Amino acid sequence: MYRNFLSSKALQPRIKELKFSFYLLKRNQLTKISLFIVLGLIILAIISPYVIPYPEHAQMGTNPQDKLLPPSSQYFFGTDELGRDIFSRVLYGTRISLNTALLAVGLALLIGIPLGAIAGSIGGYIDEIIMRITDIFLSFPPLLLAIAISSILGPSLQNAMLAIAISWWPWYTRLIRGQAISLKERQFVKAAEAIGTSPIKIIFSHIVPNCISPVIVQASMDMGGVILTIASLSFLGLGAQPPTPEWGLMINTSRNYFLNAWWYSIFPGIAIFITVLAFNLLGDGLREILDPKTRKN
Amino acid sequence: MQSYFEIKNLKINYNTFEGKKNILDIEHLKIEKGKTYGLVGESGAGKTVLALTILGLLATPPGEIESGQIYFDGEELLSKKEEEMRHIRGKKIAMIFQDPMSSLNPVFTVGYQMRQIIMKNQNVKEKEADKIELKMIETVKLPDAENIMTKYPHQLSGGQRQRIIIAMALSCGAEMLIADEPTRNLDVTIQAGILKLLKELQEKLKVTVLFIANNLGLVSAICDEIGILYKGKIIESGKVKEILNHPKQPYTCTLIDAAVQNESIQQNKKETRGKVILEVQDLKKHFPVNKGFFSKPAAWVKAVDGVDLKLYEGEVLGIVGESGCGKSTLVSTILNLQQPTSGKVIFDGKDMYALDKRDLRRTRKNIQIVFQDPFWSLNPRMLVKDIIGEPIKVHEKNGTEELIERTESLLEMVGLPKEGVFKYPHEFSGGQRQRIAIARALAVNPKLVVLDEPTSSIDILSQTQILELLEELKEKLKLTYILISHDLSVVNSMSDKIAVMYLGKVVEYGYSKDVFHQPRHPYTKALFNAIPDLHMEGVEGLVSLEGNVPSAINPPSGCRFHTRCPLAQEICSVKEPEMVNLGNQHSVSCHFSEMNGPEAKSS
Repeated sequence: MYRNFLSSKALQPRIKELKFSFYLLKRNQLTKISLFIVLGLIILAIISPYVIPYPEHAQMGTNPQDKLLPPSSQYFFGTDELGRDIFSRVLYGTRISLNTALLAVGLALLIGIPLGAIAGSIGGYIDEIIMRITDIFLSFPPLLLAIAISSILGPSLQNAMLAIAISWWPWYTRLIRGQAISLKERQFVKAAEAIGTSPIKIIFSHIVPNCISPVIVQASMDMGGVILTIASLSFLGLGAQPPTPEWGLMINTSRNYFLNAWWYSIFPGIAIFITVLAFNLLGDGLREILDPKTRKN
Repeated sequence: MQSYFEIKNLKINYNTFEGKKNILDIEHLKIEKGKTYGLVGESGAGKTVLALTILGLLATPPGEIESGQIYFDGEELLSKKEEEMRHIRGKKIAMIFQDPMSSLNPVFTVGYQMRQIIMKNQNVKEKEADKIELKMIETVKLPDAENIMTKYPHQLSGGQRQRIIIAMALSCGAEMLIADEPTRNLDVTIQAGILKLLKELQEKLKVTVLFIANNLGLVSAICDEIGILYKGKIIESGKVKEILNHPKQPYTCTLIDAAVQNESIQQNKKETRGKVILEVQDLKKHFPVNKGFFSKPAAWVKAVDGVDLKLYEGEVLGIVGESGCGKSTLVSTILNLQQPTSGKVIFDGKDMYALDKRDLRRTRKNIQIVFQDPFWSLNPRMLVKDIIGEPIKVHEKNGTEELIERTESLLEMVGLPKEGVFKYPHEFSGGQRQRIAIARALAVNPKLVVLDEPTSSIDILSQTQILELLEELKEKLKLTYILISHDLSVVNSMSDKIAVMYLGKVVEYGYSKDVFHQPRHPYTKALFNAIPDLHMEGVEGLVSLEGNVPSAINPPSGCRFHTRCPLAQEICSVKEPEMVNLGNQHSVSCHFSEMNGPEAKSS
């Protein structure tokens, strides 16, 4: 059985699909660039502790005699008020931001997808209950809700992540529910029902796989927004705590030295900018691949 | 001397994932002014690409015109700029699409849309445009033209919309019409009307028509010349009669055979009596129409309104009727995919609606369904082995061990190579996908298989093969079928008994040879004579029913068919006819069943 499953025969069609996606990806320059940036960021996030010039500066280490130096060949991005290398800290920040954002979005998907699929495919009272709850969550701006939740839970990076997941899942629930409602009238779902497949199995093996593409697109675009929200929460003191080299937190501290140390706030800002932009472009590109309707031939 | 319309050496390539593909390679095609040219080919042969290229609407990329010229009325079209094409498109050459909804704007009334076009093209004021418009709508034979002008596209039926499109095309003074399978989505009785109209307009207004179809029968009825398109090449062309009587290419022969086979009647149906496997008693399914959120339903759509049926083991029951007559609702209610309003269904001695959830799921093993559209009935994210294997996984706990072997043998049983188990459904053609759907239905050895229009959305060649396959499997596996179709000839070639449905009721029921040879209900007759066959010259023999299927919310009083019935008299609108038994289980509900009885079908 398992050997059959893993045999090359069963994998071949999936490889073919992947190749086709790649072909579509290659045709769009912007998507290609954004994909390279995102891949670069992911690699950076993995290897950053081993390649940055001053690993101790990303942790507790300080170096007061070199404080607030402008960019130079020794410190590429200059140093902060405790003499820490900003270059090392910004690079290390990739790891923190991506990690937190990925977990937050993943958690939101984990809550949102099943709830949305169940609401959409079963309907009736269950649908009403689930959707009214999401309506309550949706009636607050996500950032405000995240601020409220993380201030209740107490300021820390984990709590900020949790707060973001809690304020983000209703969007996925909504998206999936809409898809599921139209899918459940499709003939292949009716066919599965006529075969005698159980309702739960229908939801998770017929409905969810077919409405996942817009969610993937949305999630990859949300990655940018979530990274921004984490930075915002940290900026407000509700997220990462010092000395964590988190971008938002670095910008927050830099405010005090803004007039005579421009490099302190600029470089974390650029890091946020590039990351958010890359994820947004990637989301756009993925939409083109996964949703044939928006494809530009 | 150049013809009115001529294509020379047209080559079109498509840039795809797998590289460049040549999809159209037409050496020569010409149409004289005022003639109708029929282009026949399977889906994927390049018919629509050709139509789009003529109008300069081909998307480039991925399309690419490698070489060739298209001459129209002395002008070369391919070298024209987009701006010049805009003057030709619509004004001189108009296109009628398969789906009329795609060429009408849903937010404006059809009257407004037509008026805009007329005002722009003929430089007239609004009032005058209105007059022209009225005349046009009357030309395309829509009754009550003034009322129709105030309607939005969604309020019209498919046939009416298609007529409006034709009226729009003509109101711009189009000299040439490109009709891309204009009747594909329409019922046969409506289709007959459109064909008649096209033929008449062409004769009266001397319009040149390029008629694209996938069915030889349609084309032979209204065209002067035909061309057979196969894999992007015109392999044979000439006068209709010549090609039908002396086909040169083997592919043409198979096309003709397929069309003839569909017409042939299998008369050697035996009248066997097994045990009753399915009994439907006074089944009703009404859908509520809600006005407000909390108020009670304002009205009921009576989709199925009192149907009685009996099905014996090993029999094939055909259910025919136009779209909207409640065929599909009837089946999904019988299968208990939705709750009935009232009535009983007894399958294999068990009351379907009295079963609890678990028993119901177990019973489903014995009733399987093959849906109409194989493009939507297979989960596009699953491999074929998982699709066919699904019922096995559901119903047999220990069946998973040799799942792959079993799906392979099922695929071979329906005539597909067993390597197909590791493919996705989109890698198969329509006919092949329908075979996969059949294999899935047969995976757990059901007793009864419901075939919901199994051939209506696939090519004619595959249609015949699918019907043959179904026949063969029925004998081999001792199956019982319920076959639903709007096409009487499909039903007739397979079924032992036929039930004709109209607006939620069965109007005629009996052995297929009785219904086929001596149809007693005027509706049955109309259905039967609406299908163009190969030996028909012209369209005079076609019977088309005027008007639409009335709304099932407020079905007409008395006999439901009286609004469209050619025989209707006063009594029809007052009294509802009873089901009259004519002997040999042939029953019909019509006040005049005795009168129009013995006369045989007139084609």
